[in-house]
Formats: sequence, C-alpha cells, structure tokens
Amino acid sequence: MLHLKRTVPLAIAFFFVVALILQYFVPHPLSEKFLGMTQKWAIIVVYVSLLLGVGSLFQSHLRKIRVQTPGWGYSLVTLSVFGLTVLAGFHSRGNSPGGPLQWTYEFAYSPMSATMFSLLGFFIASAAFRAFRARSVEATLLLATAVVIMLAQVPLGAAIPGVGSLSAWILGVPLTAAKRALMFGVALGSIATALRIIFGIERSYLGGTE
Amino acid sequence: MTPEARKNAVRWSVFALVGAVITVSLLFGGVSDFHPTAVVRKVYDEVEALPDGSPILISSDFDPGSEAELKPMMDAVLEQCWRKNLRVIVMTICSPNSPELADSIVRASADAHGKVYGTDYAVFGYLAGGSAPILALGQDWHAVYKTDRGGTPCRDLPAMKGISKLTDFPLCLEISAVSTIDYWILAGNAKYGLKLGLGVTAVMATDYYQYLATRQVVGIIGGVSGASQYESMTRQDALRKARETKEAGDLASARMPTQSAIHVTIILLVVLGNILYFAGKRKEKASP
Repeated sequence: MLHLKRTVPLAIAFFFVVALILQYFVPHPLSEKFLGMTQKWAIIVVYVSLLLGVGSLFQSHLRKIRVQTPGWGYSLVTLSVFGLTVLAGFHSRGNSPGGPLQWTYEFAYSPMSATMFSLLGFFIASAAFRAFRARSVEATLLLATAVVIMLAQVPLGAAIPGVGSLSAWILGVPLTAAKRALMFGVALGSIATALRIIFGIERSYLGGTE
Repeated sequence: MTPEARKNAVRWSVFALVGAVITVSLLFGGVSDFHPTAVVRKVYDEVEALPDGSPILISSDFDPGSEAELKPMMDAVLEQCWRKNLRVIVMTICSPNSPELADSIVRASADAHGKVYGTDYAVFGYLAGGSAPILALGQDWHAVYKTDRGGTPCRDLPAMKGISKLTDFPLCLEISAVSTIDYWILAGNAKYGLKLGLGVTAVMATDYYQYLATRQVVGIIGGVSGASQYESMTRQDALRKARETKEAGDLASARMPTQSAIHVTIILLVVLGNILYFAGKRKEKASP
C-alpha cells in the first residue's frame, strides 16, 4: 500500500516534470504532440477538481447544518442558493438569453458582487486615515510616492506640473527595478521548490503528515 | 468615551465622509477630459496598426465585481475594433461567471454598431486550467474550442476564418481583474510570441510595468483612468453627447470626477491623520 500511496505518485511526478522540462527544449513534432496530450490531461484534471470542490463544499456545509454549529443558517442559504442556481442552469439549458439563469446572474449575482467590491473604497479610506503614518524615513517615502501616484491617476492631479512625469518615472524606473528583483527572487524560490518535488524531498502535495 | 467607542466613531465618520463625497461628485461631477498617457496610447496604436478586417482576441477575465472599472475599458476598445471592422473573438480563462458578462458587453456594443454575431464577432466559453488551455490553444484552437458559447461549430463561424491557433491572432488584449495575465505572459507571449496588450484594474496596473520594458506587453490600460484616456481617443462622439445632454451612461470619463474627489479626500485624510499623530506625540512628550 505504501508503494501506491508514496512511491507511485513520486515516480509519476518525477517522470512528468522531467519530461515537460525536456519537452520545452525539443521542438520535434513528437515532443509537441506529447505537450498537447499533457495539456488536455491538465484541463481534464482541473475540471475534475471543480467537481471535487463541489463535493467538498457540500460535505463541509452539510456537516455544519447537521451539528448546528453557530452560523449554520448561512450554510443552509449557501446550499439552497447553490441548488437553485444549478436548477436555473438546467432550466435555461446552459445560457439561453432571458432565462432564469441569466436573471439570477443579472439581478442577484452581479449587483451583490459589485456591492462587495465597492465596499473596499470605504475600508481603504478608513485604513489610510488610521494607519498611513510618516513614522520613519521609509514610511515617509512610501507615503509621498503613494500621494504622487494617486494624484497622477486623476485629471485634477495630472494637471499639476511635474506630477505626471514624476509618476511615470516612479512606475518606469524604481517600481520596475523592485518588481524585477522580486520576480527573480520568486523564480529562484520556485526552481528550488520544483527541484525538491522532482527529487521527492517535498512531499506535502501527497497529503498526510510526511 | 471609551477608546473602542472613539475608534468606531472615527471609522464611521470616515465612511460618512467618503459616502458624502461620492454622492455629491456623482450628482454634480460631469464628464472629465483626460489626455492619454504613453502607456495607454501604445495599446491604441497597436490596435490602430492592424489592417482592417483582421482578427483580434480579447480575453475577458473579470466578473461583475470589477465591471465598474473594466466594462468602460472594454467598451472603448470595442468601439475602435468596430470602426476598423476587426473580427473580435472573445474568450475567458478567469471564472465560469465571466462569459455571461463578456457576452452581454460585446453583444450590446456590437448591436449598437450593427455588427453581426458569427461574422463580425464570436464569444467562446470559459476554459479552466490556467496556462494549460493557452498552451493548448497555441497548438490547435479547434481542438480546445470545438464550438462557440452558443454551440455553433467553430468552423461555421466566418469570424474565425483563417484562425487555427493562437498565433493567427496578430494581437491579444487581456482585460483582466485577476492573475490570469501571468498565464498569458508566460504561455501566450513567452511560449508562442503572442503580442499582448493589457487592460487591468488600477490596483493591478503597477504589477505589470516591468513587462513594458521587455516588450512582452505592448501597453497597459489601468483602471477607470486608463479607460477614460482610451475613451478620449475612441469615443469622442459619446463624450461630446454626454457633455451636451448630461447623461453619461457607462462612460469612464463620467466616473473620473468621483475618482478625483475620492483620491483628493483620501490624501487629505492621510495628511489629517499624520497631523493628529504628530500632535499626539508632541503632547505625549510634553506631559511629565
């Protein structure tokens, strides 16, 4: 059993990672065919994982409803709305215009989603007022940069001489340099993690405690 | 007043101020005039350089949460595409909620310009899997998208004429509110050399400036301000009409006065917060 749980998945991961790395450097039709095949597999795996997600959603919320944990009513609403949306989808045969699915999307999902996002503006204003302090030289620099960038984003600020060009310089030079450094760091970290997975040192993706 | 009650009072005062500023500026704001920056203009120039009738791919990777920022941007881009008689192909890799929105935006814009579905534009469904579908589209479009969103076989759509893989599109515009841009850069541009232009929410724009210098991205339209700048190049008639009739509809330029007001309000709040902070510190030092 240990072979099936550990050695076989490790061997599959090793084979496919190494094969796909090599494939990138081999522009042969066979190699391209192999890439095409693995991409189709990847897409299928993602769709299957969506089904797993639905299963997990049901499992988690049904448990909350059964045990009646605090806030279990929200779980009931979640599952009911999920069921209704699925029914609306079947009724509309996917996406027929004017059907219940489109109605749900336009008059329920869309306004609720936009409302949630628009609340951010209020919280950002409140957080900026309470937390954005010039406590040190670095914090002052950050604050001044934020003010320049914010001003340049609106016609009122862009009309102030120098704001537009200063903002363009900040975005084009220090920002680009810092982002590149960050990306190199992340890329090196990703390579290190990939190597750990290839050689079976990193096994957390197999689940369990190992 | 307890410290907790004072904290809540301050928070609610800020919320009330922001609400008041937004309401007043929406009621009396009008329509802004925002000249395009070089970064936005580059996207416009790339679309403009396409020969009439060329196909253009738009990956519409946002849902209603970002509609306020990205719909005006898409409208402004579509306006230019229709004027140049480009064949607009829309797809999405963001979420299953995106195609419905993309479909409604493109259809409304196309109907207003007398464009015909299937001939002038087509909308494809959602593809899951991040970079995997982009890599697959780069090999064979028809193997991945056998039909459009409505079930019409891909080969029966005149808009898809001459398109068999991703690189048959001379330009792809990724209009996105999520990190799908990374997939397009890594898989679409780095692997297949696909020319990419970006339309992103304002908060994301700074994440992609480094790709301008390396020319992996031709230009960036950032947030409502970017959309407003694009409108100034493609929707002059709509802007003129909005100024005359005071009915702005979905124009980004009509949202800019509100954005101006709220940005200035936040800057003033930060300044006020710092004044209070330093005054408090001085008081603390002075007290024995």
